[in-house]
Amino acid sequence: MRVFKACLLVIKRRMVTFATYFAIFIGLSILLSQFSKESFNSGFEENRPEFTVINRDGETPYTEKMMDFLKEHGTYVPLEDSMEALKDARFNDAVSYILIIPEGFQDALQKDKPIKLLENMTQNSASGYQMSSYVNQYWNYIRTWEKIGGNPDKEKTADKVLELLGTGAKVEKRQYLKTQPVSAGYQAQYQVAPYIILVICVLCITSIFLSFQRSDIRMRNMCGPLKPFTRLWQMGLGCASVGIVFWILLTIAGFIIYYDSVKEMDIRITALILLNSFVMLLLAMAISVLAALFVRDANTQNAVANILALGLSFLGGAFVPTSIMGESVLKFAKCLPVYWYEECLNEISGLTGFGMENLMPVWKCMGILMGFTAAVLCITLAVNKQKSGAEESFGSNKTEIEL
Amino acid sequence: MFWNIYSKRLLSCLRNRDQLIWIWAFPLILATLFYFTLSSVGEADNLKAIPTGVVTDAAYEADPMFGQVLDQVGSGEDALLNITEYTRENEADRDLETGKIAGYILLQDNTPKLMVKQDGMNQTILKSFLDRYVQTEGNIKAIMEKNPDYNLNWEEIMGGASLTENMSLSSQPYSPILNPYYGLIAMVCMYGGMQGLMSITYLQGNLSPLGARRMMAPLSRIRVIFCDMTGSITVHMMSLLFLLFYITVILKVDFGNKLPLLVLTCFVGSILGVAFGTAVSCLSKLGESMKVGILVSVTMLCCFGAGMMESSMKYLIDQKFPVISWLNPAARISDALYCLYYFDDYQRYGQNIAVIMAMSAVLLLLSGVSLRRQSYESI
Repeated sequence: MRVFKACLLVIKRRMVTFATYFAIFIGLSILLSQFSKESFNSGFEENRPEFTVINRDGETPYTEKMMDFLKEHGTYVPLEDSMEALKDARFNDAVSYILIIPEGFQDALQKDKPIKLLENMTQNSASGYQMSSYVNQYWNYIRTWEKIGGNPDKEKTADKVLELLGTGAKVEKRQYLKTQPVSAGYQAQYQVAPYIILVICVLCITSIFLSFQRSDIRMRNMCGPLKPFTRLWQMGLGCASVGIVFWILLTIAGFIIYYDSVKEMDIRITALILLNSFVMLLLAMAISVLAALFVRDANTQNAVANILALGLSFLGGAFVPTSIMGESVLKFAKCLPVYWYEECLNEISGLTGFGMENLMPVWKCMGILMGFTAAVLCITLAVNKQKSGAEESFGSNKTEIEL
Repeated sequence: MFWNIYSKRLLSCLRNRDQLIWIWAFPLILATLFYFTLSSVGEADNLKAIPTGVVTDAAYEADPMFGQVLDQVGSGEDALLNITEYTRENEADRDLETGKIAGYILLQDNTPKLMVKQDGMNQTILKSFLDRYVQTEGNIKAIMEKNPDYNLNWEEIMGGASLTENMSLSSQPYSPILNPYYGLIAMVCMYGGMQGLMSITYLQGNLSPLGARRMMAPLSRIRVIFCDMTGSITVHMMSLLFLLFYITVILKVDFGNKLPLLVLTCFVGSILGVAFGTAVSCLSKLGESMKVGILVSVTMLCCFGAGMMESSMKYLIDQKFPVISWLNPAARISDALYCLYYFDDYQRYGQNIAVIMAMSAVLLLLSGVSLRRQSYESI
């Protein structure tokens, strides 16, 4: 197993680079897990858009109760009353809805043409529409109840309106599985996993191939006692071992970081997620072998690893969900393997049962991913065949004693 | 003499394959990927008709008012709901399970009930619509109880007139896709460090044979450094202009209409980048690969803080750690570009440019002090 050992030695010598990539990925995963510390809730929870209110009309019971009402449906972000602060918050998506209560608004509420509240939101946005509806509904109820009461006590009117707005329809969240669904953090980790799988595989496998493709090593191996098939077999084993060890590390890291949510998940869902990532690993290894045929030096190796991984991951939906991609981009993304990995992950995360009907989309996506792997391997064989006959591979070398 | 050193520097930069990949090609590829994946992000929160099921059982038939309201919100171009009717609840439940509908409504004790599979914006809007229906019903009853003679008009029944009007914050439209591009341009500016690093490597006798040869040339060091740096900045500026051209003209990403100031920002950004590389190279005695490692890591860290990977990061650091944000060169470049787009005055833009220039001056000064009167006992 000399070749196999040599493969491990090559990997060992570049361990710092691989460990750095892996550590950054795990570091980001831990950071993400801290941000998304959501606890599973069997009841329905509203989406709470971030909003801010700038009150230039003075504090009254009306504005106080309005804030209470809005805070029930959104997340309040306090901001100072300056254009710069508002612009910064809106441009960086810190708030999706800004409400400004202009001076004299409450006094002019009963006039035929009341002073209007100023709002800023993205045109046609759902969260903006939602918050705007709440604001309009609240002040229209205040207006109506002020009219009914003549000149009523503001505190009581606001309380009455808040009481009316406190009622609502019942909501029931259907749970089709007895166990908890896939946690957002765990799903996010596996959503971006294709990037790290591709980068590590391409770097590892091209490193091994780079070492064995050096002209002096090739010439030495070609006249060595080891059969080409044995050498290739051992190289393949070396690449596969490295890939599998990395996959196991990734899996263990996921289990440790998301231990609380993984233990509550259905074990079959966890198994399917792992199987999907394993199929992705096979594809990444196939792509890496193909890339290894073209990589000539360490700098090209880094460029190929990053460009391939970033390109496939970006367009496949690893960084930006496919649900918010444009139609034409989606059509192109369907030609990329990472898209099918992400589709499969989404299907697994949304599983409501384990019957044939439920699992069919999952198997379909995994099948397509396997198909991509087979296609890449076929291309690799064809390219290798063509390259091995080329002069640079000594395919056309003739010895002087050949007759 | 100037032209000789300058032109050689330009040629050596343009013939460097590594730099061509990382400073010219890589940003273009990233910009293209941003373009394809982020172009529809602005529409992600768009209000679209929500696929909703309604169980049309006996209870539903007994409440014609509710049916009328549903017809109203489910028809027309601006329909809020895209309604599918189901005669049985299990049919609606099956479509809910497969994700064909966001939720379904059924009437229980004359009150609407919403069934959903998961939390989400569509489900929240559905709930809010039903809440509003229940609240309007309660409001009318309460008004009638309080004042039976009150003349309730149709507008009041439907929730009243709109009391809000839209207010614009800037002359430019809000664009959620620009931050990653700003971060990308900041990254390329910072990658100017590679040029600075290369300049110093080729100027110091202990770092390269070329440096040793140039140290012996009968030229004043300051003039050589000046010519070399000018060459580095020129090449780097060319790569930045090429990227800017690609983003604004080919990809048609709207950066506003202040092109000269945009170019000025790239120019001071590239001086900062080159100065950064020069300082890293002069102030440390590490090997070239370690210096490149430091440059790339610091650049990536700064770009992360400038919002290239996560757009909200820059704002978060601005709010929580403003000093760190002001000391982050990538954040200053990104902020200057943002000010040009979204602000109508130039006050904050000017502050950013002043900070970038001050940083460059400090870094160049440190490099100058380090390089001054350097001599080698043996190489």
